[in-house]
Amino acid sequence: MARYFFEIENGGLHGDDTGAECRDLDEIRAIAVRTLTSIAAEEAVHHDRHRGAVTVRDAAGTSVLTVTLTLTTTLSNQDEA
Amino acid sequence: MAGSHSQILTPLLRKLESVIRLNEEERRAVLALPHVIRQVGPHEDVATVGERPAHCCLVLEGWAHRYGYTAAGDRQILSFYIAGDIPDLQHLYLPVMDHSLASLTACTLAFIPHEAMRALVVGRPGVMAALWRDTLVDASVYRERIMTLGRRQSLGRTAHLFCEMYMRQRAVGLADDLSCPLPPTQAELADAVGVTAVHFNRSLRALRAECRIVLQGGHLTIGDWPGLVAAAEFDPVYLHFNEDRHRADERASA
Repeated sequence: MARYFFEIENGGLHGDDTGAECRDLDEIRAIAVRTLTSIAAEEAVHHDRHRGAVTVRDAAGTSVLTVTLTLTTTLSNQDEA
Repeated sequence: MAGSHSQILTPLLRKLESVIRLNEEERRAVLALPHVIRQVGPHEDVATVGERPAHCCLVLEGWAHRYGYTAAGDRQILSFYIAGDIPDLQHLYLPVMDHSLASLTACTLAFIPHEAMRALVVGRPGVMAALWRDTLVDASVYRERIMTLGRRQSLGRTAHLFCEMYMRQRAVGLADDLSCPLPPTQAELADAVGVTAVHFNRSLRALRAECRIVLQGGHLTIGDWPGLVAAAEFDPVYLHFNEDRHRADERASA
């Protein structure tokens, strides 16, 4: 177990000074994906385009992985829009 | 004699009287319930799924919680309990535990034999009604939680939990003006509102900025109560505090 820090990029960049204890890379990825998708589920519904990312760093500040998510809404009938 | 009993069970009396008024004889009978006191450390199981408890567990000091785990190992904290609560009161009539009950902080617990609880209500319809209402309010809190976890966003869920725990503690004299203990860790609060600790932390930062809440050292201070209530869409009606008293007050002022 070690503590990892999850930076959220969602419009602005939000650092993480609390972190979370993780067993392994699978758990780090799971937390990053769940965090990013649940934030997107709440914040992306009103926008045609939503981009978010979570970068996970270890205690030394070294990046371990980045998960990115882009949601794009395309209206089918552009004339009416 | 009941009069010689200490006031150890006073938190239970305060809790019951937050929903219904008892008469003097009923109060004495509640305080005279036989019990065994147990000190437990943080995160000790009190009763686990499948057990058949023979006692009701009354929280006298500290916080307890109900929880469950998914097969994948994700914990959901189902509810928090504070001084005066009897989290397993339902097992007076449902013999087998269907969830697990554990301390959250170090706790002082009083274990009251089921036999004594059953004897208490015989010939005391007021106490019977108080215990009935206590379990019904517990169910009402769960309905509100389904609403919150199913339909509100992380920010609203977090705000709602803060409003509820403040109001519940205030009702039994455990909160100051817009300030109360809130000992769960951020990871535990995240498991109660059903988001990752990272997402919870984001919601907490937003509440800090928008509603001037401060969560530090196991203590919550609320700077903007109307703002927090609005963020939570919080309506305390589901807690059913003092409804009899309000009716009495209305009659008195009519």
